[in-house]
Parts: sequence; C-alpha cells; structure tokens
Amino acid sequence: MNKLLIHNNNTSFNRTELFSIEEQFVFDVDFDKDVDLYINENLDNGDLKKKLENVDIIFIKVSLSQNYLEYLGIRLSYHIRLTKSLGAKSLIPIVFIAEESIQFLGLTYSEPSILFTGGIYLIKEKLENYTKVLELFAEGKIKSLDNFSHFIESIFVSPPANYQSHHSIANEWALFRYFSMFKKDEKNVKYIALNKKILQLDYVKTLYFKYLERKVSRQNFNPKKHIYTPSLSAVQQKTIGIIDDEINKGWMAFYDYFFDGSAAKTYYFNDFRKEENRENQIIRIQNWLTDNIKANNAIDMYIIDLRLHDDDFSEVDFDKISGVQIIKYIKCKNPGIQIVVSTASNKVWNFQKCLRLGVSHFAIKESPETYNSREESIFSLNHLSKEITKASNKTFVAEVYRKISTLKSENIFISDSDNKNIQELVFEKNGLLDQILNLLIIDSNSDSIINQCLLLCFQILENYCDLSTISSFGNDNRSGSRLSSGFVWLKSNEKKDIFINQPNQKISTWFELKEGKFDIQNENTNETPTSFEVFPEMKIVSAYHSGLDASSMVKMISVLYFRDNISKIKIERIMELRYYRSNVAAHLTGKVKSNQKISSNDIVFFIELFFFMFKLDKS
Amino acid sequence: MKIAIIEDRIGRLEQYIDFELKECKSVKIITGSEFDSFIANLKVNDTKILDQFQCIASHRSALSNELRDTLKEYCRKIRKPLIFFSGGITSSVLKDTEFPFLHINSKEFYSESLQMFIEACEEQNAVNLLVLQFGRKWKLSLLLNLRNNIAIALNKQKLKNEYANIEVDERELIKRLRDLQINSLIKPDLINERTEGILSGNDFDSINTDQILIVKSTINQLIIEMS
Repeated sequence: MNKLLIHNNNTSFNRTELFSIEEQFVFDVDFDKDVDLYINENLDNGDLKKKLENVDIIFIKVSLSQNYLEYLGIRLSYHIRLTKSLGAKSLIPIVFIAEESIQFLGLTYSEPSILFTGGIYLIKEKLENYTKVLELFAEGKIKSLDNFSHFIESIFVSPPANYQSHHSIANEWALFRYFSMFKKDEKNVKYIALNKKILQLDYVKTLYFKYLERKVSRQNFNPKKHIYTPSLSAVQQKTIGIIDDEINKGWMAFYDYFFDGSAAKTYYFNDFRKEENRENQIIRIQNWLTDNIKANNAIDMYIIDLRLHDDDFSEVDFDKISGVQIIKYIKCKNPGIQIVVSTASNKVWNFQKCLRLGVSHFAIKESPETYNSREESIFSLNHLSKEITKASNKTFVAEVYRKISTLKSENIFISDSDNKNIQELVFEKNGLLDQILNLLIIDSNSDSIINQCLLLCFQILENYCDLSTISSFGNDNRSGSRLSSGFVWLKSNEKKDIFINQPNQKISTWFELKEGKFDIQNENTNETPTSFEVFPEMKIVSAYHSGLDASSMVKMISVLYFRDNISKIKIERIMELRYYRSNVAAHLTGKVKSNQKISSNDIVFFIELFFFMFKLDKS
Repeated sequence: MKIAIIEDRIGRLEQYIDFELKECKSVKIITGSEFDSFIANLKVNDTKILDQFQCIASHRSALSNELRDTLKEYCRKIRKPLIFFSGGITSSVLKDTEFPFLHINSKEFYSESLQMFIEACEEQNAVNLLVLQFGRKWKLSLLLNLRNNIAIALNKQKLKNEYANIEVDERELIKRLRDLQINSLIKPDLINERTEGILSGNDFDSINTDQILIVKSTINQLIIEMS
C-alpha cells in the first residue's frame, strides 16, 4: 500500500518510521499567496500531484496552518476531489487526522459537507488509530469515493465572501463557459490565444470555480446542439469599439475570436490603470472616444460594460457609474451611435435606466449565479450575437445624425430672410429633420415608424418645391388643376421655364410623364406615372396630356431634375416611394402589395438627397 | 493604539459595515487624496507616515507587487501586524513567523469582527489578529491548537514508550509546564479548581502525564462551551 501524509509539521505521524520522506508532503502556504492558488499550483503540476500519482490512501491533518480553526486540510480535500487533472486519483480515500469529532468539525467549519461523503475517514492522533487504518485498508474496508455524481450533489462550496459585488468572477466564469461552447479550433491563432488567456485566469484555480465546473461538466454536451460557431456577417466592414475593464483579462481575446471572420474592425480601450481614480479614468476614456468620434472612420457602435472602475461596485447613484457616464457622453456627441451594454450584472432597473439614455441593446454575461444548462449558455452566446447584429444594423443612424447636424448648421436657407419658414419647419430644433432622427433612434425596424419618417421626408420635399424662390406653377382657371405654365429658379438665379401655355389648348414642355405600374402595385390597380421622359428641347403637346397638371409630383420632378440636378433614376425612385406614401403611409388604399415594405435604407436615401440639395456650399 | 486602513474603494467600506468606522478614534482610513499621497510616498520607500500606527490593514489589490513588498518589508523589520484584505482571497490565513500577517477576504474584514477587533485593540492596547479572523471564536482556535499540541506530544510519548526503534527527542515531549506553550491570552480561562495547582507553577516546574490529561480535560470542556 502506498500512502501519503499531508501535514504542516504539526503531527506525530511525520516520523519516517511511519511515513518515509517520500510519503510526506509539508503543506505550507507561501507568504502572501492565496490558499487556493497555492493548492492549485501543487495539485496541477507541483510536488503534491507527483506524490499523489503513486498513492492509494492519503492522511491529511485537518489543520495545515498555525491556526487550527482555519481547517485548511478540509479545503485541500475538496480540491483533491474536484481537481479534474488528478483523474481517478481524485477519488482516493482521505483519512483526516484531528482531535475533533465529525460533528464538532461540522459545527465549527463553514463548509463541512465533504466530511459526510464517501471515501472520507477521521481518526485521532494516536498510533493505534493509524495502525488500524492500515489494517482496514488491507482488508478492503477503507474505500475510495465510488459515486462522484452523488458526491457533487452532496457537497456545497460557497462563493467567495464578497462575490456579490465582485464581478470578476462572473466575467471569468462567462469567458470560461463561452469558450467551452466553441468548437475546437486549434489551428486558429485567435482561438489559441483565447485558450491561453483562460488558462491564466486566477478564478479557474479557485475551489468555487472547480466546484461549479465539475457540476457543469456533468451536463451532457451535445455537439449538434451545443457547439457555437461565431458568425457575425452583419458586422462586416463595421468598426466596433469595446470598453470593458476586464478587457486585458481575456475579453479582448474573446472578442478577437468572436469577430474573427466577420471582417469587422475592433478597437479596444485597454488602458485601465489600477491606481487611477474613477474621475480620471472616465476623462481618459472620453478623450479616447472624442478621438474616435472625430476620426474619418468614426466608430458608430460600442460594446460597453457598465462597471469600469472598482468604485462602481459600491456606487448607489446610477448616474455616477462609469459606464453610464460613458454612455451619456457618447449619446451627447451622437445619439445615433449604437451601444450594446454587455455586463455581468442582471439588475433589471439598470437596464430600464439605460433605455432612457437611448441604449436598446443588452447582453448579460453568463454568471455562476444564473447558469443552469448548456442551453442557457448557447442562448447567452446567441443573444450576444443577435444584439450585436441588431446594433450593427442601426449604425446608419449615427451617419444620419452627422448629416442632419451639418444640415442644421450649414443649409442654403440659413441666412435667407425670404425663407425663414422652411428654416424653422425643417432645420431648427425639433424641426422635421430632428423628428425623423428621433423616430429612427426609437426604432428603425418598425414599419409604422419608417412610414412616419417617409411622410416627413415628403413633407420636407414638397415644402421645398413649393417655395416661391424655388419654383412657380400656375393653373388654368378654366380647367381646374390643369397646368397653364411653370418655371423653376435655377441655382444661378436664372428662371427656367418648364411649361409654357400655348394657344389652342397646347403647352410647351421639357418633359412628359410615362405611365406604367410599379413592382409594388397590386395587379388590379390602374397605371400611374412611374417615369418621365426629358426632351432635348421644349416640345408642344396637348394641354390635356396625361399627368401634366399642377400636382406636386410635376413640381417635384421639375425642381429636382432641372434645379438640383438629381438623376433620373433617383427621381423615379422618389416617384415610387411617393406612390407608397400615398397608398400605404398616408392612406391604406390596398393598391400596394401587402408584402411590400420600405426600410430605413429609403429614409437614408432621402437624408442623403437632402444633404446633397440643402447643404450650403461654403466655397 | 492606532490602526491604519488603507482603502482605495471607500464605497465598499460603507457597503459592508453597519457601524461608524470613521468615528473610531483609533482608526485612520487612508483613502482619496491621502491614499494617492501614501502611494506616492511608498513608491520612494517612504514609510514614515506608517510609524504612528500599531497595525496596518491594506486593500491588497490597491497595491502593486512592488508596493506590497515594500509594506511587508517595513512590517517585517519592526514586527508590526499587517493585514491584507481582498475580494480575491479565498481563505483567511494568519501567519506569525516573521511578523503577524493576516490574509483575509474583504467581506470578512469589513464585518462585525472588525468592530470587535478595534475594541479589543483599544481595551488591551495590543493587536490580536485572531479576533479579526475568527470574531467571537478567536479563543477557540488557540484552544484547538493547544489540544492538538498536547495530543501530538502524548502520541510521541507513546511512540517512545512502545517502539524502541523510534527515536523521539526529549524536546518534543511535554516535561515542564512551559512545554505546554499555553498562550497567555487563554491561560486565565484554563485555571479552575483542578488545574490551578498545575498551571500556577513556575514555567520550569515538571508536569506528568496525569496532570497533562487534567489540563487536556479542561481544554476539552472549554472547547465544548465555546463551540
């Protein structure tokens, strides 16, 4: 029988007559080293592991330090049972040496459950007890732990005492757990780097982690259901900023692998300084953000942890939390920038407050508190991926904001005293452009919001075309709305006639409308103007020529084509959108196929059009 | 008696403790700008500010490895009790070899035991880290140590008596009163009618096995009462 005695030079059994030098391990926690780290070092690759490999039974002194009540021998026994790398040796019989009864130890130790599990024995420090154990072992009456499943369900290991506020544990747990869901990808340098980072985490060496890991490893892993392969095609070519105080503890490696293959560019704020106060840290992050916001290739999407400084864990004022201050700063600079709050905290009230700041994407990092199953882990990863994708799809709002901001301060009407009304209506605070932006910020995926934006876009366009400094179109009094004449003011301030009334109910015109059907129209609807043909010179046509009336469409084509030099293709797109506006957004006439929707891209199209038309050319 | 608490996360202090630590006259909390200044001094090995304190408790994670070494070296030289507390510490361990040095989890540090510890320091004008580590059970740890030491010695005696081939040094056995190594903090508790005659003697008075067993029996009784 090969045996091992683990002690702290505090037993009479450490005589070489009872245990040879090779059969002894002196447990002595290094000065200023955590107990779990010390044990882990020795069990993982140290002397203790080597000695354990050759033994059949272990004697452990309950006390392995100067102070009996620390009961480090019991803690060591948990580690032996829960350390995966020990393999079958982790089940070995453990004989505690103590003057106390099991009941007494149970009463005076905070985590006594292991004492009441299989393969655990207790003797007092007497030679005859030692001899008896050897006899019983020889007779096969001292046994190893035979049912690990029962064991893991029978024991309980508490989280570190201040765990509730110590989010590092949740962060490290999430990293470890997410990594375990990835398919082995050992040819990928980013996968290897992530694996290396995870192995360096202190948390994976703690007893609590080992306990959770062994509980979890009993969960069935079904490769078909549980393997997660990062796939974020939506973020292609996007730039993503990541602000997380755990970034250097593995999360940078995680995101590097997570976005690997997505063609997204990631930028990290990774200069977290241990001794820096919160205020200074926030200022440095804000400076970093300012540089990025001003940059040509601005970052329009951030993944942010709420708690970025130790002070945040005890902060009771939500507004003072570092991540909240950073979110406010970003949203103040550009409310269209998308933010995914990724945090280990699951405090719902914080999310509600974030919503009020304009954040609409949240991902809760899996934590030991909330884990339950592989399904939940895969859900958590999928959820993170979905929130990033949704945020990525909304990054256009940041560019919309930039364009609108520019237009508000640099538009062609800004010093035009004749057109104060349109300046107020469209460009000033809470004007039509602001209304469009605010609607897009609320939800750019909602059909009703996009329809509302479309109405606002046409309101801008029609008001512009109606300005007397832009165009003038007259009606023939005898024939209602029939066009009598019309002209636009070119940018050179020259008047350009588009229609001229001629005798005998004729009209000279530069273009005529072409009728047809848009793809979006239902089959049983009438033809409608879908295009227009511009003549090389004015042509005389009948005044009753189809569509040539004083409608806003005719004015719009005239202004856009002849004054603002908008391409025919774009104008035809506006014509189609106008049809949609009239038959879906403003009135649901049933003329548009029910599966036809417009999207935020169409609103972006208008914003770009306005930018082209209304931006003041400073040169 | 003055105790320094070096804390960069002052909010945590308020979060964990429900007594007015700031009101304790014997406690000086070094935080905020004073903390920054303390760190700056420690970086140039200037520890003068610590001389006024009889015990130093510091948030371990607030200090770099180098600064922790500087602080440990300072305490080692003058055997000044040092406490490192941190959320990352999984088990509290007290070492008293070169100087009294306690590793303790932050939440255990900022607890009722801290108040007991401060009061004990003030009353006795001495630092007893066991009070901080175990709270009301601090004497229990000493009693268990003592009982264990007696058990070891008695077993060695038995080994010596029964196995001629096992060599046991006389110094490993309990022959005189002082060999019991009774901590002075618990000695008064051990004195009763049965032990008074044994324990009130001179350190060099001899003690026999029966007397040792009487003392052990008293220890057992006290352990039961305290647990």
